[in-house]
Amino acid sequence: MTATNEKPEMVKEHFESISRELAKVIVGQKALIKNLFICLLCGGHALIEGVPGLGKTLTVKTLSRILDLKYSRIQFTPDLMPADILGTNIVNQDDKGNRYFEFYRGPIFGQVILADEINRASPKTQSALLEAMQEERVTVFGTEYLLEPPFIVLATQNPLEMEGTYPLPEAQIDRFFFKLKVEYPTPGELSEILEKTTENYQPELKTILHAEQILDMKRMVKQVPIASHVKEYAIRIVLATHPTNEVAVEKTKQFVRYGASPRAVQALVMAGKVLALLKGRYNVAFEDIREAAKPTLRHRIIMNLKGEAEGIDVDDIVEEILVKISGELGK
Amino acid sequence: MLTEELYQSRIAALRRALFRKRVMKIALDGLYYFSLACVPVLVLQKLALFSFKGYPAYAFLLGLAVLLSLLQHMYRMRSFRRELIAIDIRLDLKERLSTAHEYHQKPEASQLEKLLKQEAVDLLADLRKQTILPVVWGRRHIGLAAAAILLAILPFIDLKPLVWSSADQNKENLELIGLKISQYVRQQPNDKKRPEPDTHAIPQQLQDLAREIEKKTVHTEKVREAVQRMLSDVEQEQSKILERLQSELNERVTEDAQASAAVSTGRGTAGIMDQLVKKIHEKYGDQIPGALSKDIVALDQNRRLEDFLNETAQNLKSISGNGGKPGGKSKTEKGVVAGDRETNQTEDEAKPRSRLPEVQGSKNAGNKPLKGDLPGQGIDPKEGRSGEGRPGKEPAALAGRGKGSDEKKEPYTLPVSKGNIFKDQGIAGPAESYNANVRSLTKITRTTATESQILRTYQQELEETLLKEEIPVSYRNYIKKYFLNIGLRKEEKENDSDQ
Repeated sequence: MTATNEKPEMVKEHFESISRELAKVIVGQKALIKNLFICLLCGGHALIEGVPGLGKTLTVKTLSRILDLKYSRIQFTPDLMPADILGTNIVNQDDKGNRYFEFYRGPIFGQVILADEINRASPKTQSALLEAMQEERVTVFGTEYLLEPPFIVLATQNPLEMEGTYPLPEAQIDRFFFKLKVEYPTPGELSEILEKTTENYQPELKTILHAEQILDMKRMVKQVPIASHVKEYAIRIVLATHPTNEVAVEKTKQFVRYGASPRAVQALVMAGKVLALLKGRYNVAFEDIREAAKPTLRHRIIMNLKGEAEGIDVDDIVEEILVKISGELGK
Repeated sequence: MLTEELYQSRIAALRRALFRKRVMKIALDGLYYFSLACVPVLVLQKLALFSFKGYPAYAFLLGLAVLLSLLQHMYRMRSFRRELIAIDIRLDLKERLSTAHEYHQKPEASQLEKLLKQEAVDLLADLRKQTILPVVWGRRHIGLAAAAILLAILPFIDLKPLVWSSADQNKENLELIGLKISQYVRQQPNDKKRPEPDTHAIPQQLQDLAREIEKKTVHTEKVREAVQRMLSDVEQEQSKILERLQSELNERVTEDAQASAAVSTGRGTAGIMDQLVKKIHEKYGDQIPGALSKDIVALDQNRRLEDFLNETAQNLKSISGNGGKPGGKSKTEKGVVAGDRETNQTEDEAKPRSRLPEVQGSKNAGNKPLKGDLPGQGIDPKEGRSGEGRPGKEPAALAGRGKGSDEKKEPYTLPVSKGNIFKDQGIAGPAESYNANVRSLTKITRTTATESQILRTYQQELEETLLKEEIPVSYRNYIKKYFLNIGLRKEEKENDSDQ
């Protein structure tokens, strides 16, 4: 067992510090910030969805500045190629005039990667991120290059209905730990946004966390105890998303084509662990799993034609699953 | 103390508390089931639908209820881990107790696990027993309370006939009265002089009443009411007959007697009857008209019925008057049976009753022994039937009182005529009747079958029996030869005789 230098209480304190710093720039979006922090500690990646102008890119940029991590931004466009992300071999010449191939690292070789408007690139380019996201390494011309931990991809996307977008392939989308929805700000928040953006407001951001601290917290998260019945609870939730499973709810049977993959259970438990620490607890409770369910499952449940046609919200299905499975707890 | 030891001791305390709670719940459920079962059983017992003594049945029910509760709890019993999960959920402890318990059983402990265990220790210290295992008032408590109230009330509610809820002695008395009534009714078909049409339904009513008593579906009050009703009918009928006789004689006996007749009380009627009969005797001598003779007979019949009903009413009164205990003046104690006049006599001395004077066949005459006093004619209390046909023995034990007294009764003598016209002509009053069942051998006559035919039949049956029965083979031949020899000898004899 690996010992950590961090105390469990420090996770909560770090999060509060990050929230305070982000609040200097970002108005509201507390849930988004919290979930991004969870992704960071779990080693997952987040897909942030929302209409343009809600501060998705700004949030990620600010976060990368607060964390003492290498930040790189990739603006996804329809003509973006995989080599533009991963890097490529270029011909170089030494002092003696000998030519050789030298690997030119792409923007993926960072620690916090902002994949802005990821669904504007073609699926081929989107797939360039697959290996990096799952295995934290890239292979170019047969050579493997490890990515520096902690590595986190924070992708933003516009709703799929918008013009000029390519839906992410299922394999790609499953690799995202969370899918986070950015909601419209409230009138109060809008007023604050105006104050901060239309006046001479120049906040000074401090670096809160270093890579080593993040890695320590990641190790600690894995040590958080979780009882077997809580794990069973997470498993049942995931199984309930499978339309052919006996625990599936009615909506699942009607509107879902494919349920969540095993990555969803892993994500549920890991997110539950971070949430427990954030709440000052040393163990995962049912409520942590419940809280993590929607961002974990909403992009992993693939609707069928009927569900798409009727405009069923995946969150409603997850809600029904939670109600059903939670009702069975007392029995 | 170390966290580990503290955790161990507090978890052990929780285990003990859970065990106690479980035992209490088993006891509560057992009591609940017992109460539920007791209510219908008590009701059944009070309704007297079943005859059983109380305590063994209730002990059996209690055992059954506890066993049922135990089985139910064993079936539903949860593991300690499940109990902890339930406590976590109920008290919103965020699964801390159950998680700590699970990780406590694992060998390796991280920093977070130790912290979690410490937290669990603190939680267990803070939580009171009432919080961890609160008393949950459920439907079982309500059911138990309701059943307890019912059980408390039920003993004061009499759901069955009064006599059956009283002492056993009272029950026997009413059964005895029922036997007397049924005996009286059985005697009626032998009586050729049936009552008048207006009262001829009374024997049937009496029979119904006796059947109800036998079935234990009637209580003393109802019997008394029925007897009083019949008595009233009989007295009304008597009044009618008296009026007819008076109008026939076309004279009034006395003004007082007339007034009494209108009232139709037993005492007044008796005086009128005596006077009327005397008048008839004086007026007609030996030549009494048929119509008058018939009325006199009917009057006598009604008198005897009235006597029986009065006697039954007295017996019933003695039952209820003694609060279910047979009193010293109870007629049943004296062994009164239907038609018994001996015991009536003492009552007659105190309370004169309407009675025909010396009508032939009537058993009202003085101290003469009557049917119930005949040797061997008492009621066998066990068999509930008349012990007829046992002359020469001790008088049978009278109904419901065990063995009769040792006092020797007068031998039975036929009523002697005293010169009264009614007796001499034999037109009034029934004679004593006896039922004797004589069994004897059937008459021996000659058979039409020949001996050879019979022997053949025997032989066939022998063959069949030998096949059916498990007879050793060596014996079969022996038996067969025996019968064949009988047949052969007979055939030889027949042949010899033919020759």
